[in-house]
Amino acid sequence: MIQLLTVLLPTAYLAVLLAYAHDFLARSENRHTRLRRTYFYATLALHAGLFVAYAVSVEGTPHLHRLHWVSAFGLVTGLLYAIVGEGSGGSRQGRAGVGLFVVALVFVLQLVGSAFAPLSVTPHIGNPTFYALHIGTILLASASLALSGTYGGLYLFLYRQMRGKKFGPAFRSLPSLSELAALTRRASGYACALLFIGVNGGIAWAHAKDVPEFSYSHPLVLLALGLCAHFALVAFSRQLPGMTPRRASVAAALGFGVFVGSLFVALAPGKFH
Amino acid sequence: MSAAHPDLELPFALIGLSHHSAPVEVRERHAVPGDRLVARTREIGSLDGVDEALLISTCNRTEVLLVGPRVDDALEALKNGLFSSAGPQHLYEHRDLHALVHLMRVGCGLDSLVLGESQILGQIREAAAASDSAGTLGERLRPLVDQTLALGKKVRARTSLGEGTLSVARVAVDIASRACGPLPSARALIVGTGETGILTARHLVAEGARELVFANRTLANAEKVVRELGGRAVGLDALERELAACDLVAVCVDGARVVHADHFERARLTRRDAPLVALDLSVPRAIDPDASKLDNLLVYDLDDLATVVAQNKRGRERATEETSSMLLAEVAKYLARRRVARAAPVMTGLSERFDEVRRRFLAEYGVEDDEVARRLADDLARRLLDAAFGAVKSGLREGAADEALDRAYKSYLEQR
Repeated sequence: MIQLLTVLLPTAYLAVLLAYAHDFLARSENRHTRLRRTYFYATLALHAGLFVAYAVSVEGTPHLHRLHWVSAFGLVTGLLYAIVGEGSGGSRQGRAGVGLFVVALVFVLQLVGSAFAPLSVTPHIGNPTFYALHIGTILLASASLALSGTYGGLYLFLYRQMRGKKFGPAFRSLPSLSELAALTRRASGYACALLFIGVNGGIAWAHAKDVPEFSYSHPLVLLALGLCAHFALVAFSRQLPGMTPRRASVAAALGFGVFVGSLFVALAPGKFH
Repeated sequence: MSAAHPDLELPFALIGLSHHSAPVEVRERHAVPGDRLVARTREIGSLDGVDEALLISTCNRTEVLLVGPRVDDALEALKNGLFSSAGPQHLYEHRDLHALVHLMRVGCGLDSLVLGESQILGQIREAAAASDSAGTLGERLRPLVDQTLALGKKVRARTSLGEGTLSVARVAVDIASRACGPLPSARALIVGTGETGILTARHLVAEGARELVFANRTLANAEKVVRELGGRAVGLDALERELAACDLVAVCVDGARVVHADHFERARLTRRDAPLVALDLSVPRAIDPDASKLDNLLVYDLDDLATVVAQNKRGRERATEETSSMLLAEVAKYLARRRVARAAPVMTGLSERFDEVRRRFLAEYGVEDDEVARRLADDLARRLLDAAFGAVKSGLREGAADEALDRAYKSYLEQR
């Protein structure tokens, strides 16, 4: 089952990506919103099924390889977007556009996960509840960061298109600039709060387990707190003098870039988890 | 009495009035309310010489499509009945192929007030349901209506007909809403109260802009416009203050460059939700061109908007051509189906003949009771008949040449 899902998932996400690409380029009457969403939700369910399969294989909480975390990051990003982006308010027009880029990110993450992560897992040793809470919070924070970076990047893209007087698919299929700016700020706020909780929770857990190297002076912990402060600035950019929505979007996109870079460092062999 | 097109067997005729031919007060008099549609259709269907009838009535058109051996008489009856209070200059008539083409053009939205609008499909569907209830939808009109509705859906799915506005003011409003979101949340500043400024303001009011502020050199002129359209009036000395408070500014003045780059300084730095959109609808330009280089500000002049309109126009021309090709293909298909339907009695006769030959063959050789011989004869007769039917149908489908349909379509367009 693990092997089947590992192989199937990138293909399934690719099909979802093509559905979103079709809707991005199509006129509004030709969008197959319900079908596209169904594919997406079904693929997310399969993806969640992969982690259930890991748990079943060890009859408990699995200890995941660092590359499984890449896949988990993709899953949580997709789930968060499915609930917040596709499933709730906001303009219908924008969902095909934003969704294309979010699904592309999830596809790339799962491709990496499927290609390089080992098929088997080992049982987790230690308090599974605390582990799950800490990891869950960090994953949600990462997903919020990803969405913030995506919205910010799309703001910059659409702004450039409109400034260049180009009124093609991006103009038709993305949300308005004001909506993208609001989404960037909101996602940044959630990312900041969740990152703060996750990092502090992790430090408390590490102290309880007497693991002194995971302290506030650890480089990755400092980076995480730095990102937390950075995204807090984006979240409150509306209140900051001189912080135009374009500058806030640049900050969100850069912050996401730094986060992705830090992932490579954190997931390198011999580091952190 | 008119002679039908050879493939149609019976004459088709269409009579009606629309926004192309009649003013609104004439159209109003002839509109048929929804609850009277079935009864009116039944009355029309009961006219002498009418086998089938379809009545389409919307706010922009009332049309009757008839099929029958004496549609000329029925047309006269309608002119004296349903259309009695319309002058001859308000009515149009189409016959046979032109009637088919007209119905399909209406279904595609090519004849609509707003090109490509899709509401007409629902209205045709209602008309068909009324005809069905009135018992006037038969073997000729039913497939025609089905094809028209299918064509209408296909056109809207595959072409960009109806997309893209040709109005500069409308393009301006569309661009503004992509920057600052839905217009009901937007505050707009209109500088200048000439014709363009008022037209732009009307579009903004129609879109539900939250607040309108009119700035003019002469305050009294701005106040006059405010009395008509609502909002607030200010003088040009309040420009910088008002720019900082609005989401969208449209500058529509004559002669002077009234908005300089430094007017935007406060506005662009205080805007946190979206860039300020500045539309320069003046000739010569009234916004300093250097302003377009500023961050958090999007400036569009008439050339930019005209480029979008030209793009939309090219898109519409392409879509109209594409739609016309699809329409002609559907007309050809309808005619082919009519030809096949007319051949049905011939094919039934052929089938009976084959059966008779099969029975005589078995009797001649004295093998009517032989199971194997009977099965062989049945199978052979059926296969030969299938081959014959296939050849007949395929020959019937290649009916009227494309050139003939093209000519018919061109002559329809010339008549309109």
